[in-house]
Amino acid sequence: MEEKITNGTPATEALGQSGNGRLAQAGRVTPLVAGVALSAWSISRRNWPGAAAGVAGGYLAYRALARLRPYRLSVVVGQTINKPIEEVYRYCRDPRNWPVFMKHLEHARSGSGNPRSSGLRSQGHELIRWNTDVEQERENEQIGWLSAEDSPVYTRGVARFQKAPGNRGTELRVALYFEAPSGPLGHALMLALGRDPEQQAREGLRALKAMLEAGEIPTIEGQPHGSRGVTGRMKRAMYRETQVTAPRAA
Amino acid sequence: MKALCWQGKEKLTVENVDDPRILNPRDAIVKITRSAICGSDLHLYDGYIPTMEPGDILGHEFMGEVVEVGPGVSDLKVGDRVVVPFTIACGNCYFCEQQLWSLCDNSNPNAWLPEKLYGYSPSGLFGYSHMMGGYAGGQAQYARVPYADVGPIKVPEQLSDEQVLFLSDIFPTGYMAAENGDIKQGDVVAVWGCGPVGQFAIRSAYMLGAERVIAIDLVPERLDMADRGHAQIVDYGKTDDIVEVLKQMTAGRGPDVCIDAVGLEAHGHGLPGLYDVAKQRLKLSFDRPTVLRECIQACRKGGTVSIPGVYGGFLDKIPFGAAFNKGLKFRMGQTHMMRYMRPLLERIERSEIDPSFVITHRITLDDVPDMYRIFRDKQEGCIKCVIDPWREGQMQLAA
Repeated sequence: MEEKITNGTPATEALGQSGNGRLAQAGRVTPLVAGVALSAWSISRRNWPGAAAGVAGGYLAYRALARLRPYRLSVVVGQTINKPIEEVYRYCRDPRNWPVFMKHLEHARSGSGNPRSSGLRSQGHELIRWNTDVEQERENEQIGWLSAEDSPVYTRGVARFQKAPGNRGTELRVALYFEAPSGPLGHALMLALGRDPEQQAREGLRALKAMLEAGEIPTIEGQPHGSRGVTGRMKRAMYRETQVTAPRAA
Repeated sequence: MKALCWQGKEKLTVENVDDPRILNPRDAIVKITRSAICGSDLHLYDGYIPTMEPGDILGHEFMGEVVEVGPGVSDLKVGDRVVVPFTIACGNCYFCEQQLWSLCDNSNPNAWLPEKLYGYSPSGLFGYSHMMGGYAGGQAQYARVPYADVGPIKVPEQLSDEQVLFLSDIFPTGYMAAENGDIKQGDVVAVWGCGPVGQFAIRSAYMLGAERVIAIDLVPERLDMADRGHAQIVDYGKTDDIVEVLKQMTAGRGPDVCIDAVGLEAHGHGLPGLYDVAKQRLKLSFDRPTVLRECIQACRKGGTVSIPGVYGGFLDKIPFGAAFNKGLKFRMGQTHMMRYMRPLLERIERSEIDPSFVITHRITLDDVPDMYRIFRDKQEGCIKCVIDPWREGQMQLAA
């Protein structure tokens, strides 16, 4: 039994701001008001502090406005995989393989047997829900998907499979579209998809190709290295790198 | 384990680091018995290669004994004695199937990096910056070898480590440079750079049918070694115009094949040389293509320029008009190792060549930081040094 998730339920509250509460609304509006006020004040001054305030105010207002807009993302990526179409198609169609190219999102199901109401979650919060796993399916040609009407985030996409020229295997092209309303859901989606969603999609497809061709995904995570020094440690903090192979104490 | 770590331009340290472990099913762990320093490692030492991080372990020419295999490796077992190629290849992508092993699609975990610079990513390499995969290298006591069922080759008991170590890089590289020249019986081949790769290119050129090989370098002991390989030597330091010298040596034709075994840190002369150095210092270019320019000018019409020398970025002032109007052919790239290792091992087994002739120094890991400088500055007659990573202390750095 799946609870309908809307703004204001515990799941989204945990994301930081419940969508319609007064506190949340205040939290969205305050930076906008502050930004506009700062900018207005700065225009009346004609000195450097005024200019600095203008820049700060303008930036605050921009950030506030950005959060008020819906989040939209459209991505098209492709990869050629040195395997026959049937094999590539079968691999992609099997939800057990989806973690290979969907690192950042966990796929979870509810209901038993025939997949109904499956969804994608990020860090425990459901972001996308489908009524069926796939739409517009043509075996060895195409897999499409469309989110359910009550899905928190709207998404649609299609993967097309074509024989590559010569003996090169399969050309796989994927087009994805995401749209999330403003506020915490859009923000959560952005966090889940990472700083550069197009890169995420490209890397996902690359990982898929490596699994199908080489049976594994190339990695150096966990390999030894010497002391990273000051810059290295700084970068580690900046990139929030959690996996560290520390040099042994001499 | 002990490992040689890059810490910055001209800064190397020998540190105590974790032992490598199996990370993927097709990995193997090799206990390294012998390793070497490559001329291209000097580009890392001099800071010309971007995307290096302090703590990265260097080294890509190594061999040893298999001590652990992952569940996906079937044709190697613990105890096998292997030489490991410096390129990493999966064996199943389009490029591997076409024998273009150094262009493997599936061995660079950071493929997006060179994609930004080059359009597409070549294969991963051991110990050669994060752009090329960031793999920990072989100037250490152990190494993790990915796709171990594709790369490493087993070597017979009766050949010593020193006889087979150079199958890991420089012998196949020199050989591919000569093969890329499309040498026909009776051809004249000019080789710029008598470092180890050039030395193997000279001998390979003769193996492939060259009638005369002209070897060009600045350093006396390298010219001597080339002379012992039956090359006609030209001292680059004593000539102002190498193109004219080559024209005279070939009675007005120019060499049929020109091999650039020098790459991006070429020594130039005069104003053009200064120009290249200045641009590099100002970070306006990665590479100093003096030798490439000379190869293009000197090559006969319709000839081939073969480039094993490493280049990284954008080149400047290349006489492309000369190249076009003379109808030159260019062949280049990182060595397609797996194509050559077995055939060249067979040549060594048949005693056609003993690659250990290039060795001038035998050292320990602790010697290595100093050795990079000696190697780069061509002091002490250094041409090639071999590292025993298990030997303790510091040896006096003489053969």
